[in-house]
Amino acid sequence: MPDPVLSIQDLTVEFNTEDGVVHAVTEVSYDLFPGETLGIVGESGSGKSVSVMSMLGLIPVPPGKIVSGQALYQGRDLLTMPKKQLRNVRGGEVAMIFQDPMTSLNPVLTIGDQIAEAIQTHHPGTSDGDARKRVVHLLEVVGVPSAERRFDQYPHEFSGGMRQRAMIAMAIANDPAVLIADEPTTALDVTIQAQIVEVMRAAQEETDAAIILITHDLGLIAELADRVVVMYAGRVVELADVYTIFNAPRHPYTVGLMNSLARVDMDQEWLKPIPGQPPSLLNRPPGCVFHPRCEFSQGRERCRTEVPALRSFGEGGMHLSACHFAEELAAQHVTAGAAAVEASS
Amino acid sequence: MSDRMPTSDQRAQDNETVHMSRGNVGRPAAGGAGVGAMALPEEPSGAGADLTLSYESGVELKARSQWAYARIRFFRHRLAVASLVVLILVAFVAIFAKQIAPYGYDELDLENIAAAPTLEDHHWFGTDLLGRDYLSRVIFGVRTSLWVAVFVAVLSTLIGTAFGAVAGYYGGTVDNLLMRFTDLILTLPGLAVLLTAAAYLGSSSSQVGPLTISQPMKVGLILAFLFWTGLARIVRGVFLSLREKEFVEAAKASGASDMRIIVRHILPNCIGPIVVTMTLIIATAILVEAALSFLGFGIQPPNPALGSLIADGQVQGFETWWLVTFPGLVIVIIALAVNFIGDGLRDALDPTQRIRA
Repeated sequence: MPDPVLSIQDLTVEFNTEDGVVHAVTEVSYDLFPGETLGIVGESGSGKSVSVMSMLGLIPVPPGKIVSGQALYQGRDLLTMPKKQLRNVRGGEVAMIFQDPMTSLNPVLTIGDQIAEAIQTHHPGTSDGDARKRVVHLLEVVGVPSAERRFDQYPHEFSGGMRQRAMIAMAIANDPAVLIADEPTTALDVTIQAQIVEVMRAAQEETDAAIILITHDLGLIAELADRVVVMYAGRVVELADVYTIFNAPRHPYTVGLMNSLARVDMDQEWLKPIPGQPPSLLNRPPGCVFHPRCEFSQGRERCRTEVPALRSFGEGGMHLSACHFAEELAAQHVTAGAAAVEASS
Repeated sequence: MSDRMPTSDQRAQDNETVHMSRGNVGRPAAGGAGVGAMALPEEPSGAGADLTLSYESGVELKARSQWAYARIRFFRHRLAVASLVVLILVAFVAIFAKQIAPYGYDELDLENIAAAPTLEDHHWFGTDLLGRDYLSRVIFGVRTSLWVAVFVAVLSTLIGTAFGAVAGYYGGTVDNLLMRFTDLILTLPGLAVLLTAAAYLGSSSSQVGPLTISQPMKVGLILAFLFWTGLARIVRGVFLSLREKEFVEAAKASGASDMRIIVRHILPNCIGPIVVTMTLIIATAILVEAALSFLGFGIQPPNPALGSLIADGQVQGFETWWLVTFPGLVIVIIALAVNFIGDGLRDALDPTQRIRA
């Protein structure tokens, strides 16, 4: 295994609010290896975005506070890096694709100017002509037709899908080593989503970047990700390659997620949701954060008192699960996920 | 293949079917799928041609930029356009005062003292009590007043924008400090401060280092010091709302520095309110400068300014009505024109306004 390009270790982020301390991210660790696509899944408020945003210094401080942890990018800790150096990393070596292309583009600058701006921020000597050439090339890579003409248009003249393509072009403008996509397809309709998946692939091919794909769309994960981090209430509950996550999950929450998927290939009357609500991050249950909703724990003492550590399974130590009783989870609990992977590949 | 070729009878039949069902493109003809598909290509003659024609002569959608829309909206505003023409004329006359004015502003015509407006000797606006041509004095007065007004507008726009941008972007303590200072300036009684400052700064030009600060420039500095507050508040408001926008976060994530975000990403979004406020500052500056000069604290003689011209003229009362009327009229015309232009710009630069026929 090569060295990870990005390694997040023991990251804990809290927000101080009027109602108390929100434990947004707790003791999160994962590695990102060169060229891979790492999916991060979890429901809203599970800390998917915060873990990534805090690493780039993009959460408001205060109220946000990075309590502990490291985010090592090629051996350098992003969390303690001076502001100026961090700015060079942002957009240069670690770039982001945002969720909503409607509002993430500046309405008064042309698309071309905005992408050229990203280039010239990191390469101040670039002439306008060179920047323009590069931008037109980038727009072609992400599949914007008649890029030369589109360069001079404003965001309101672009459709949603085209805007997201432009956002991706902007993100890969400086050949980043890491590309963070924060729910890149959430704001788009389904047919456009499929196109954006292709564009993401093209972008990865162009830059050889490692991608962190944050989403709650398991279909997108099955489509794009090599490995998957499952987060729940600010903690990593399971980490494995995409086939293992869908075929043989070893955490009751992941099992619940797979079983709650809507299936196209089966005649289902009802979806099978995970019972209950996700816990308030102000006041999390003691022990395993998932135990109140866990069908598997069935009131076992250990689940209520002891926070389960991430343990590894199988060979290579690449499958991690944070469940005291993960061994008891048999593969027959899961049928839905396996079929979803097969269907998409 | 040969069994799918239509016989001549079949073909005629098919053509008929196609003609009857014209418009239902893609509907298979009656005589089997293969035959229908072969018969269809012969059909485009009547309706098809019309269709292509209407596409070609149809609406050619031209993409317009925001500025193009703004320009269109502005030119729909007739009063604003007329005002713009008037202001350009006035500015032209002011800039080329030396070439256009028939006399110098301090040139005496001792044969015509306190002459009423006449077409003779170009004394269209009459002459004052020293026999100076009043048209020339008004023209040079406009030159001074307009110069001061533009100076005030530019300077106070720079100060106000800088204050508002920094306060709105950073928020918190910085915002509090800057805005309380702004409030402080706003609470100053304007006229009292103006009079005190004008008296204190003296009535001649002075030398600050290598810079010569002329007397009109001093008046401009005093006015700018008091005029930037409104703009600062407006710009701060726009910045407060825009800094939370995703595109600012996206700019941050792409490594832009605070300065770059303020200048390149947020400021262009504020151009509308800034331009409008700037025109309104010009109008106010002309009026306040006139008032100041009228009170004798503004532009000092021999520099003619519109306000001091009125002040000089009112000494004689109604007998020399032209000494008050003409500079007064010019002030009114300029102030109105600038206000109308500001109105037009505000409507034009408001992107929520649609173009109405």
